[in-house]
Amino acid sequence: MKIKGPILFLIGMAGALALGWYAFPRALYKKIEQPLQFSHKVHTGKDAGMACADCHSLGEDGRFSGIPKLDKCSTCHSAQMGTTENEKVLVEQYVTPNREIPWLSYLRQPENTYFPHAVHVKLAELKCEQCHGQHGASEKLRPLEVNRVSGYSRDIWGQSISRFRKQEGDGMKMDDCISCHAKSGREDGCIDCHK
Amino acid sequence: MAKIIERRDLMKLAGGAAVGIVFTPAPWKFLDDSSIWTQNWPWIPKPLRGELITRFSVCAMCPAGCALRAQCIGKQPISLFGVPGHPLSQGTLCPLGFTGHHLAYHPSRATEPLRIEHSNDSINVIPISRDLAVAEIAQAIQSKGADECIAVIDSRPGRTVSLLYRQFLAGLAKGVYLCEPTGTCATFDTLQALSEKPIGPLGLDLENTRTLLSFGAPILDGWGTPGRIQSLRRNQSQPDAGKRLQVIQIETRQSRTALFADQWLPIKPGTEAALALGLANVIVREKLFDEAAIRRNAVDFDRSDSRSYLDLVGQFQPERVTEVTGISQDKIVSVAREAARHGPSIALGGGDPAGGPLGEAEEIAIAGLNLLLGNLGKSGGIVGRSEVPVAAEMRSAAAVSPSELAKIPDHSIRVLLMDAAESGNALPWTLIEKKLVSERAVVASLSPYLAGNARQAHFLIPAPAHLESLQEIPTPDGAVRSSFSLSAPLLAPPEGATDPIDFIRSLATAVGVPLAGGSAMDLLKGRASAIYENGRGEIFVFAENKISDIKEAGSAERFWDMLKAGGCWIDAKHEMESAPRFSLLGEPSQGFEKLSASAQGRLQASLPKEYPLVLMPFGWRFAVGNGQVSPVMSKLYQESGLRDMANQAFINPKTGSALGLVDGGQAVVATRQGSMPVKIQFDSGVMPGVFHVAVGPAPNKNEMAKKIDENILEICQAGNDLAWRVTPAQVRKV
Repeated sequence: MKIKGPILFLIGMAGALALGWYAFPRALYKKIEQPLQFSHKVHTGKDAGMACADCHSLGEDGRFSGIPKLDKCSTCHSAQMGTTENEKVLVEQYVTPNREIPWLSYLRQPENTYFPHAVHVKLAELKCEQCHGQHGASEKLRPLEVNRVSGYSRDIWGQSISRFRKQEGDGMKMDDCISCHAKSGREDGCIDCHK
Repeated sequence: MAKIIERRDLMKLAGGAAVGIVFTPAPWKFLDDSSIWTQNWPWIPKPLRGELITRFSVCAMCPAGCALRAQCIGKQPISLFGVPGHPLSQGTLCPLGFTGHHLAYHPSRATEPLRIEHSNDSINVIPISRDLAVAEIAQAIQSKGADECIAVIDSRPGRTVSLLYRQFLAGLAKGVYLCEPTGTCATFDTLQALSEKPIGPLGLDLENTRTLLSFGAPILDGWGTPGRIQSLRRNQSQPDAGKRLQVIQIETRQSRTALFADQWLPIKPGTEAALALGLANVIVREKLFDEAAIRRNAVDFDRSDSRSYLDLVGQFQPERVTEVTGISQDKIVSVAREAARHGPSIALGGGDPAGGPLGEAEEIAIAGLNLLLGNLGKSGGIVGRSEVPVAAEMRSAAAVSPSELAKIPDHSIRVLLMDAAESGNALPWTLIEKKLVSERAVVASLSPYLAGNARQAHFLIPAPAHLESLQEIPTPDGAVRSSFSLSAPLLAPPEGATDPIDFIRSLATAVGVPLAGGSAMDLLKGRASAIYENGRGEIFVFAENKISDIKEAGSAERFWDMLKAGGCWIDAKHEMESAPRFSLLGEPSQGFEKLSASAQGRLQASLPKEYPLVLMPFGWRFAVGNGQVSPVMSKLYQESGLRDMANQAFINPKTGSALGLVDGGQAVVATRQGSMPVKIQFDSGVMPGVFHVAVGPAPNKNEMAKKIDENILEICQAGNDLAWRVTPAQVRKV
């Protein structure tokens, strides 16, 4: 049969496409659950009415606090306020024994990169959502997806494995920094980020 | 029955898969991840993770006194920044300062006392105890001959340890305290030498200067304190012409300062004295100076013996100066008029950090130009500043006066101690070597690194490296107001490191010389106390970013704490008492003749036939001395080419082609002192017949390598005044 060859070729091609687009991304990343569930929505919603900067603040010297320390949580949660299981775990396993929560960071930059929040938030006046999307309104914390080869978080590459039609704030590779800086007319040198 | 799946079918399937996979992200993503994986192998060192702590200190790598804000994780500094608002550095740090916290881990770092044995072109190092090293040096001191001397070379005078060295040497039969022959203070030193009475420390009021004639000084590239120079650059672009600073760079090479200057006068090598006297000729002839003041203050301006300053400058008519210097008559006249009319003006010498001092005659001619321009003690000119107070017990102890290396007889130093601090300028070993007694000389270096001149020593007693010990930062070169700060340690020194103050105390005890004061900490505390009790000036506190009166500190103890936390004391402005009487010619007996002879330039007559070219070394301040630079400086030297690597030779394309050289090729430079391989680079900005060779580090090179480094300075020829910047040479293609 003359068409057998092309069919097999197409089958191989289709298999590879399926493998590359579907199976590969799933196999590449391992998922690690956060130590505790946390709802940004509850905290930033109408009831609590908190702003991002209430927990993720910039210090007087411009240093970004990053993920808040336990004392920030225990200011309100020294005792259980509600009825949820997650709050109970927070109080019993972390606040009461004064044990820091080993949060996993989604956007930890590589060692050779210097990223100042102060410059982007204060000088460039970027909104948190421009880089972090709707994370501040999320109901639960998604698992951290760690690349099995590089060890980087998936958020650095971005959720789209192809990096095509990428949403704003999806991905934090050097290309993303350069592209955003180019849009805002910034001229940069290597040493601006790689000190 | 035919096979359902044949090998050929499998090949087609695999072919399809191979084509298909290319159209998925898998191979490209895997490639990206693999490259990241190779950057994160476990043996690659990584900065610590943890809470960031901010600490303040002062950079002690060079005398500039720039403030540091260190971000530390635990006790480990991981990055350094400038401190905005600091009165000296104004928030700026140079690239070397930014990477200062790497130096404690430099490959050439020595962490214990070493005995260094030399054989041909290699060295062998043997660890020894500090006590044994001190005992052997003490024995050498005690066994010196009647005509031999004991010397200390201090590259950064004005510190407490400097005073201690001078006291130690005063207790010996023939102690000599030497400062480097080069540096940013050459013009001040010359003015002081020309003055009839001591005029105290001097600075440049550059903020109010309108015309700056720089005779080869790297004024816009590493001179003084980087933050101050940045603000000078802003003054250059002032829209108000009356306030604008005009920089006129007089230099053979088109240096960075020449590029940034308003005018560059390419001058023939070694002819600066003739130009300075030529400019003086125009100023005198056109009466563009305060004649009454000069006649009143200068002892040799006009005399009847035909050997006065007037007679001297009369010899330097512009047409004659043009022949010598290669600068047109019109330019000489216009620059002289500009300097005299668009004042306040300053003429600055000092020379290139690697090219070395301009020379005695040149500096006297430049100092004379300053005196003629009437800028001494005037706003916008060369102004006086106060001495930084010293503790009473240190002030009262006997101390030898500073000497110049050029004035020491050859083969007369029996024991030489080389201090750990760096001036940032080069000091060729050949200059030191000719002063040592043959064979029996003992040289001890206190450098933290087994590199540069320390490799030529017999003993290395390593001092703590940068940011490993409490260091005092006296007033930066050229500053208008005196200052004092402390470089607080951010790192712990290795056990085998010895503070120079402790070393000199041990040595003094071993040879029976009593020294004032106590430990290094006590001495520094004593000096801080003396400053506080003096009651003058202000203190800048980094963390609070404010300047307050010194009295607000409340007590000497509190003032000490403020300094240790990174504070900086700035003295009040100091007015020079009155215009001193001075000589314009230097030595009464030979000054006229020496300056007159400078008419032909440093090379005097035509170049010898076998050495038809002029070799001129150059370099970037601090990167040419014995101090080390961080390995990441390879970004400036190797990757970007912003700075020139050691032994890169720049030559005019016409000269190069005539010699059969190739751009980018290898060549050998030969002088009467020896030969050296260089890499040729054609540069049409270089004057024909001249080649400039870079002196600098090779940042990624392991200095612990046994072979002694080759340095172009080793084949430069020094004159009687120990200036080595122009050497007749030849170049041949390899």
